Amino acid sequence: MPLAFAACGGAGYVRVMSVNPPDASVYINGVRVGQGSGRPYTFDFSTTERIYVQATHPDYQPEIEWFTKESIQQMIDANLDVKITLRPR
Amino acid sequence: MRPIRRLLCLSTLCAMTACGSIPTKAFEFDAIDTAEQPRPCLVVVNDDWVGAAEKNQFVNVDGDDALRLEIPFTAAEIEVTIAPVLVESGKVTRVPKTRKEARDYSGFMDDTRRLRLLDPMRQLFILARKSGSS
Repeated sequence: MPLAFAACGGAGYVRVMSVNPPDASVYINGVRVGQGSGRPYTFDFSTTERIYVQATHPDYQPEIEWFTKESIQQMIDANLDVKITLRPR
Repeated sequence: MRPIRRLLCLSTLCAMTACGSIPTKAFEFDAIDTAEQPRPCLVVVNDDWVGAAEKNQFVNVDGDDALRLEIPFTAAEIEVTIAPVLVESGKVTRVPKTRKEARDYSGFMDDTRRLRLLDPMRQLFILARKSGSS
């Protein structure tokens, strides 16, 4: 079962993020959170209405995706991970 | 003063008072390229290229930094364009006046984002190289 659940009692939602290529760097709200695929990330809506996720790799076009609390909740309900696929340059 | 006129005056005053409190938000803008290196850029708000240049709204021109801007929200969304620039010896070689000029001269793509009042404070733009640029 994927690690996809709302954090207890808070505004944070933990979702597994998949990026392709798997060695792409991942940024959440402009802050680098790591590199690689299949890792859980926390989406904290306590101070913002929207959260943006970026993935980048030197050989690919960078991508950005915006999420709201509602869209993350829908992904949780549908048991979907966050997936970002970069297009080659 | 007739009651209806007094009511109109009061309504106008209320409207003016409300209009006087335009919400603002401080954003921090930064730009990198796909190799995650700082990329010098001009930060243009609501297509005001002249104002951006006059107010020196540059980022990463003199090293790795970020630009903090207090932005009034006269509408639900504001449009921010990050226009790449070239730098030599800590100075911008040419200040672009359009997105196309920025693209053509720098070899990097520009990027535009529509921001809302409750969006994250830090706004990072990742700029790709223009097709055909090495």
